[in-house]
Amino acid sequence: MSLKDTLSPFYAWKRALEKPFTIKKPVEEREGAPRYRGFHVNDIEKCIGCGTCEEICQNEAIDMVPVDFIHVEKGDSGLRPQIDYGRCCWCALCVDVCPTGSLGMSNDYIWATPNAEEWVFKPGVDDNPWKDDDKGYRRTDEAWLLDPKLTPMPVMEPDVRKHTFDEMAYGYEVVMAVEEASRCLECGICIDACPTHMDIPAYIKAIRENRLEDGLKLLYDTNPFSESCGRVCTAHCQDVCALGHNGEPIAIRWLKRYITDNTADRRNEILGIGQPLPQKEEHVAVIGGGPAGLTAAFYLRNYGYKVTVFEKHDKLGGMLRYGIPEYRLPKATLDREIQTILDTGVEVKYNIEVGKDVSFKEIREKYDAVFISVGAQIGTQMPIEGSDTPGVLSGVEFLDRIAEGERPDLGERVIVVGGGNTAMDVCRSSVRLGAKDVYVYYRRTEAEMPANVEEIEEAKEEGVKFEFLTAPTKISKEGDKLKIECIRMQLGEPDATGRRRPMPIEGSEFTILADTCIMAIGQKVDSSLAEGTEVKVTRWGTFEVDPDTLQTNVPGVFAGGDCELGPDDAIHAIADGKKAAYFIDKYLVKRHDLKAEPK
Amino acid sequence: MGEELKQLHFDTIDQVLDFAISKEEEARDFYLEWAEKVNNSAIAEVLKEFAGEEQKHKDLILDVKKGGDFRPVAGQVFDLKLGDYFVQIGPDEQMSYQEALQIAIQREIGAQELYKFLQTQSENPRMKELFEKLAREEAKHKLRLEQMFDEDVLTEN
Repeated sequence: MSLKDTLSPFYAWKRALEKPFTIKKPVEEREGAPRYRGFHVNDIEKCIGCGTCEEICQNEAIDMVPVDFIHVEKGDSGLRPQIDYGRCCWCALCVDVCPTGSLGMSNDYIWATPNAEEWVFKPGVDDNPWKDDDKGYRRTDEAWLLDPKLTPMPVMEPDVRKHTFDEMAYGYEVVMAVEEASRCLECGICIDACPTHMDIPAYIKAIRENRLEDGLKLLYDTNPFSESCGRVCTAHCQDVCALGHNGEPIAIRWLKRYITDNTADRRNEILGIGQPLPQKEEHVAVIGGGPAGLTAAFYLRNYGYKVTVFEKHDKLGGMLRYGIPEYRLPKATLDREIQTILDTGVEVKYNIEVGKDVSFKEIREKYDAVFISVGAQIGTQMPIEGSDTPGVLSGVEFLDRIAEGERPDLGERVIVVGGGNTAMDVCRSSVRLGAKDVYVYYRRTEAEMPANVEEIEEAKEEGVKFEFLTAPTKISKEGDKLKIECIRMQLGEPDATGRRRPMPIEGSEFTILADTCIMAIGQKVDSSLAEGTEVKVTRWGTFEVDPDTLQTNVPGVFAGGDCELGPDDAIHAIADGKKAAYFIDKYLVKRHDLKAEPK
Repeated sequence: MGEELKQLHFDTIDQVLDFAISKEEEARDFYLEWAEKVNNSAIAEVLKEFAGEEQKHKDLILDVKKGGDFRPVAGQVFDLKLGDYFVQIGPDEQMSYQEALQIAIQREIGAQELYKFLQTQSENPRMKELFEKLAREEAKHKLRLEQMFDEDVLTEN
């Protein structure tokens, strides 16, 4: 060893009394760069708890956890991300993927705490110095890892489709379906929003992986009308899709259709329909063969019960058949779907109206349980003078005639009154029947229209003209025309309920001549079968049920679909049918009043 | 307005209030009578609710007679004028919820018009004011019923 090496350790002592170079923290805190990736921030109102951040994190640094003041609701899981800074590598993939853009990173980069537990926190919820920092890293549209555009559905051009009742949407090709399915984040926010809680991420994954048989089985787990829903569902799932916050939601409805279209010829084989089912002695009567009734029948058969459906028409399908025109849902498609349900062994008695051809009492006595699903098929009459003038039609009755194959001559000018989906089906059918001028008169503004936006847009494409804030007040005959007296409306100030209601503008009256006027202002339930029975109905004519079980006040008698909900969409009726089957099974297994069961 | 209304004559405020009370009683009894007659128990309940409302109106006028005043109306009483275009219908045993509402709206319009008419006929300023207030009360009742009609019947209009 050299002398230098021997003495070196002692030289260090010459610094012993000098001020140390080490410091507790930087004397001057330098601000991070404007887009520095510091600690996470989260706009708690924007965040929907989809968990895409948790999914993408390569270090498993993010967990979705419940937060006291955030409640589960449609489109919000109620969870929020919690970040573990022992694992986070500040890569910002979570920010770059965030569908709502709620997640970001502050440009704060200095933080010291002796408490290790504080290194795991919920941004936007837990308090920290950078909580409200608006600087730092935020995702830009260019850097977004998701594709905001949906794969368009090939449809018939408006000029072509307005002359035919043929189905206007052609369906996805395989490449389109896989491309669209690839956009799904599998967050599952959609499942809760779907009334029948279809496992949407799972069947979309099945499309991606070309496992259509599995996809079909998943569809039938919760919905035996998936083929129809793949065409006409109001798609509550798409309303809450995480991608819809900053782009277009996944075309869930079209993807469902893709599965059913491409498995139709092997449907029964894939689903095992025709194979032996459990055998139970009890027999259930279903009154009304619409979506609610047939869904209940399908699941009741799968539980092993004998099922008889009483249908007043000579065909099944209810409002799917008699309320939705062919260009949206072809009858052949509906027929093959209904056939699958019937192939489980459901018995049908056609042309039998309960309450007229057979009494409800007889049905109640003969069957072990009854499910009432008669729908809401009576059009609401506008109580104005002349609403019974020849040439004034009810929307639902008009659609019923079209469904039966009639093609009435409506003349040149048709006035459709109403703003719901029925009004849209009516006005678009009128165009297809050759009417030159089709007007929709709606008492409120476009923003208040209950019809689907897609339907309104397609009607406009087909040449339907809309007159908002307009209402008929009197109808009479003038020669061979209808003289429709109308008045313009304005929305009043919000009333005590917060709604702005239409009020007539004095002096704005005008008259229009038309060949046909079709009223599509609402529908109601024909609950006459309950007359003279113990079964209670509400003032609206709907059947009164326990919302938890769908059982009426009479044990063993259940009701669901539009006749219980009031006019609603098909998917709610399907959900009710499935729920009713579940509780009818519970009722028949335990043989007691479900209302007595503790909730 | 019919000739019989032109015969109506009031000398005192109390006479006016007694007349208004009798109109409310008549309305209440009308609903109670039809609540007994209708076939549907849910509609009977609706009519009993309407009768209950009329009883409340009667109590309010009784209170005014004792020296109280009508509740001040917060803001404007909107007139949706739905009933103005309705065809006139009468009650029957089979009446639906829509028809029950229509009848109730028609009756409120009738009552409102009656007080407006009496207001124009009256020369006493205090009576004029009272008739105006009574008409305004009826307008409030009509608005409530028209809101129900708008909400429950014209669901897609």
